[in-house]
Amino acid sequence: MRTIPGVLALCLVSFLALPVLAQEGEDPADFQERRRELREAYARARTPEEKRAVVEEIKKLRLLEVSRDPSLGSRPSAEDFARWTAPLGLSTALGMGTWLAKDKKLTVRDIDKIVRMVSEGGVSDKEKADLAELRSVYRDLLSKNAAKKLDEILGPEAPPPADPELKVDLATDSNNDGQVDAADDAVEESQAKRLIVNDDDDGNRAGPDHKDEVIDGAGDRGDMGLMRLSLGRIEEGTAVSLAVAPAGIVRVFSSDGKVVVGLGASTGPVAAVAEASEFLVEGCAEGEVTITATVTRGARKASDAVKVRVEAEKVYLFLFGYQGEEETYLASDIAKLGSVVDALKKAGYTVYDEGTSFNQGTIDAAFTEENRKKHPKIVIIDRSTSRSDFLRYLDRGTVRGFFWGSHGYMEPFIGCPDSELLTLESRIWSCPQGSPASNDERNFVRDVKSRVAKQSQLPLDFAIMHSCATGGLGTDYWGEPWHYTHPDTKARVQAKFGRFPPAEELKYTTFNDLKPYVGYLITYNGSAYFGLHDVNRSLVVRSISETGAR
Amino acid sequence: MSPLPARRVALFFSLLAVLSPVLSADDPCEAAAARAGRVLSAVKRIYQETEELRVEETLASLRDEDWLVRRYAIVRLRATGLPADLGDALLGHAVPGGPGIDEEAEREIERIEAWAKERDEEPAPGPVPTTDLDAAIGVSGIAREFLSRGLPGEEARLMVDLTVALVERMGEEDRRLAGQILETSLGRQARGELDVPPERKILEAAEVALLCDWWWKNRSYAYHHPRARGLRVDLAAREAGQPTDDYRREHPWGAGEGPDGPADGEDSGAAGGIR
Repeated sequence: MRTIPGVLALCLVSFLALPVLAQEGEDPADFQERRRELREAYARARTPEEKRAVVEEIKKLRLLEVSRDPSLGSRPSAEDFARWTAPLGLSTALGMGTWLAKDKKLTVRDIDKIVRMVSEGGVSDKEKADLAELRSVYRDLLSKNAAKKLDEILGPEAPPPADPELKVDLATDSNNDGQVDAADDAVEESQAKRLIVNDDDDGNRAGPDHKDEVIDGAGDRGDMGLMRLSLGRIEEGTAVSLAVAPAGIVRVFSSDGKVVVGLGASTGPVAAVAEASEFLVEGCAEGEVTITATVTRGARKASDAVKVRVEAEKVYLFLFGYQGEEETYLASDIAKLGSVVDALKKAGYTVYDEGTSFNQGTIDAAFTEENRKKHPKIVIIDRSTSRSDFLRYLDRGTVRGFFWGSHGYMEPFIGCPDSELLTLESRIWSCPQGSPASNDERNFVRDVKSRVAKQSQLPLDFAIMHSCATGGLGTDYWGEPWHYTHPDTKARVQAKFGRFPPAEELKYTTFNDLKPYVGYLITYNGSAYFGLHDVNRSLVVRSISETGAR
Repeated sequence: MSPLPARRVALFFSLLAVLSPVLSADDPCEAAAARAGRVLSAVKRIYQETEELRVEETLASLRDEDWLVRRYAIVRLRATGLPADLGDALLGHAVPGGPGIDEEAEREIERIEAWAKERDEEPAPGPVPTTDLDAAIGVSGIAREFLSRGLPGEEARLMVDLTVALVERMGEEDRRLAGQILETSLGRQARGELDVPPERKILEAAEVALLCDWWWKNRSYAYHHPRARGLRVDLAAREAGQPTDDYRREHPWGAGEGPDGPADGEDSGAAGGIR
């Protein structure tokens, strides 16, 4: 990417080139006048780029002069040009370098030639200074070996001196107290502003917000991290850029919603330089980045940096739907999953359990913006999961694994076309919030599968579908395939077929269809038993530990 | 007092040894207690083996004399990775009143042994012990499933016998929790007759003991009630002092009575219950 100094240099070249062309038909006195102007311009030049632009003009002027007056000899060599530019105040090294860089590069052979020319009998301090000026002015044209050669002679190049006149302060909520204030400055080098991947869908654009380069209203804006940039007095020639390292983790917007540093980019110029600016940092992937604001004016440079750590919301669900009379098993079933929950706690997860009072508010608190920014690794234990809650959890798209426990069975999808009447589909019962002894709605494979497929962190570590017949009727229920079918569906089957076909004549859709999306999937071909002795906790924990609960 | 002749003492103990299974079999309470101890011990061992992924050690339990232990072993092996199509035939043998280990079951066990030999799973760190209470809950979970689906009278009563015997083995605190599970099968009838407040979810240990006593006094009057997915006491048989099976041979249930009657508010919602 073209840098700000580079752009300025090009502008300067363009500006200086106009007088040269205008003087093409003029006499030697005009050339002298023009050289004097350039000498003065070189003296005024403050940056390597400005100096280089001036000597390029000198070079062009000399070439023009030679072409107009053959008595001046043939096209000059690098040595000729070096000698010729000396009276202008340019060092021999810079003069030669200017000539040799006409092919837009300075090789190690060029440097060797310059060194031989300028340092007969050893390199003096004056000659070192000349070579240092050459390195400074032509830094970007030096080949790797040429730069190495100069480094061997001169030592490593010192960084540009900090400019006390340039002030830059980049700040974000480094101490994560919800404010961007002076307290953040003290910790910005050691602490990172925490963000979560902007994975919700404000504005309903049918996808996670971090996937697009648009700020979808206040909700989306609120999901981003505020970053303030304060500069000192702004003078002409001041340029500001933001650098993000590494790329691919955050996107930086200006406050008016324009992308300053895109997700795939590492730097971006700040178009409108003001004494105070605000930016919004959007978390797009997990990782930690350093965002550096650099302000330059001429050769002067100053910078300040903040750190931002992005985490993804990750949710493990332990959900219990309709238990019926077996509600009495609920406490022991939840206790039985303790070792799995403990493994997640060890991995840094925060547990939100609605408890025996069935307080849904405890769970909902997990998903407030404030809480999930502090604790994006979430374990939900919902002891009375309604259908709406179940689907709501899945619709977040951040599920890493889930356990489901309830009564369940198989039957044709309610309201299915006649062609599907002989296909039994596994379904699990949810329950009204706070009432696991009662049933709420049937949740079929298609309801769950379509949502699991959309999770952002596939494959899930585990999905334990602990209900009867989630993997088929099995031998237990083979003889009673229609036993729990909805009365309306039963009536349709009776009307269409005049009988209830036996199990061997039916087709089946089970929760085994989740397999492409799940690492460790357990379904039940026949009975699932309250008491959860048909769940191997060691294997569930292993499925988590193998991913390190990412 | 002269000492008993050695031959008479030996004869007495020989007779006792021969008759004890018979005596136990005649006393459902003793028989259930003996079975509960054995089953509990087996379940705890199988649980630990399978939780630590040492499945080859569980294979012997597939030939256990008690169908419930065999079923539990299959369930645990399935939880540990036994493919769904393996063990299906064996499950058909591991049911109340099932055929036991016959040639078909042996063939299935051999297939499972082959699977165990070929599987390549690192053992999980152990030990992963389980408690008496948890083991009892595991057993009762299976028993509950059969009870809810319906069993012939005596088979159903044997299931409750086992659950009650397991509860009776528990210490005081565990007994309170296990009592909840027991109530699921006994329903509200027992609680009502014992004047335990219906709104209180967890019984006191002494109340659970009363519940167990109630069962042993009423077990011969108990019949399976499909809508309630558990057992109910035949009050008329109890009044007559006859086991329900005998009583109903002489006095069959009328339409809408007994097993076909309402579930006294315990109906889960639809005919046959909701699953």
